[in-house]
Amino acid sequence: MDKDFQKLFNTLETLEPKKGAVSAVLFRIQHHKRRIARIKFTLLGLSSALSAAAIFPVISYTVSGFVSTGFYQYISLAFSDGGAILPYWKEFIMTLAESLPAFEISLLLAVIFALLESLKLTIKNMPVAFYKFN
Amino acid sequence: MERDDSQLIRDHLGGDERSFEVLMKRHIKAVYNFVYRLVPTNVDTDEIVSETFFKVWKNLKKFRAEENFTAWIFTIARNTAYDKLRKHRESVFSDFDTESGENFLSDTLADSEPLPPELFEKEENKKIIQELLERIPTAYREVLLLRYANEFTFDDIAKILGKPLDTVKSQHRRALILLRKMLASFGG
Repeated sequence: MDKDFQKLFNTLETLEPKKGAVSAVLFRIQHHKRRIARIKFTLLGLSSALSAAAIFPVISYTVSGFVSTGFYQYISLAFSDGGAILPYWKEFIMTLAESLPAFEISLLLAVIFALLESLKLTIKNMPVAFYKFN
Repeated sequence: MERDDSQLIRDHLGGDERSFEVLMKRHIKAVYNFVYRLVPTNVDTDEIVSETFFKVWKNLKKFRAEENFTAWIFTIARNTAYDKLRKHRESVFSDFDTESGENFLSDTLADSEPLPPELFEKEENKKIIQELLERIPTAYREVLLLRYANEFTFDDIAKILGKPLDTVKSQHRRALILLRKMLASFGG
């Protein structure tokens, strides 16, 4: 019984999809990719701008951190009276390490990283975001 | 050497844009014919097929290599067609269905006699067969199309339709009985 019905279905006309059906889907995919790229470009561009704007206040904050922890004074001592410090170089290194403004440095590195990553991804999305269809 | 579906999918996910185009060209005709015969004539088949392959592209990362890729595409095609039918408030049930979901034409014993050979021979009968197919309930029609027009196994059909295997086999049997009755009543 199955073979008969198989034969019956084989007699049905096999239709061809409309001409350009494949191209239409590919066009739709490209369109979708471009839309997503434009959204990413906008958001990442904004992120780049915000990171760039934040860089200078954060640098200023980091510098004041170096001053308030005494790091700047200790380093100045190394340059002004190096000979006196040399016998105690291990303790001096420890003091320098302890006086590093860790939070301020981390914040600065984070902002620099965010800026570079945002810029990189913004540029990466540009070709697709501004792709011109034929 | 021609790449199989798995290789094309791997290549596409690896960044080869052309691989998806090759995949599409390989399967679009079968999907088009399935959708065309599944939905009423006033529903846009091209749009459903386009939407199907767009969804295939979007979800290709989720496809598991151990699955049957063709069956996966047909699952998407079928679901897309049904979504379209629901949007257009098209009935997915046949006039032959009762309120309880039974079909009075199909609830009889199977006839194992071969079909008359003239069914396959006369050119005009092809159109009639197509029209009879359109009158069969959608649930039965899709089982027949997947089984005989696309040669899927019952296991694959069950996965595509999201139904238990026994249900699919039962619908298949009922569909054949109904189709045979319709062919016989047409032949006089």
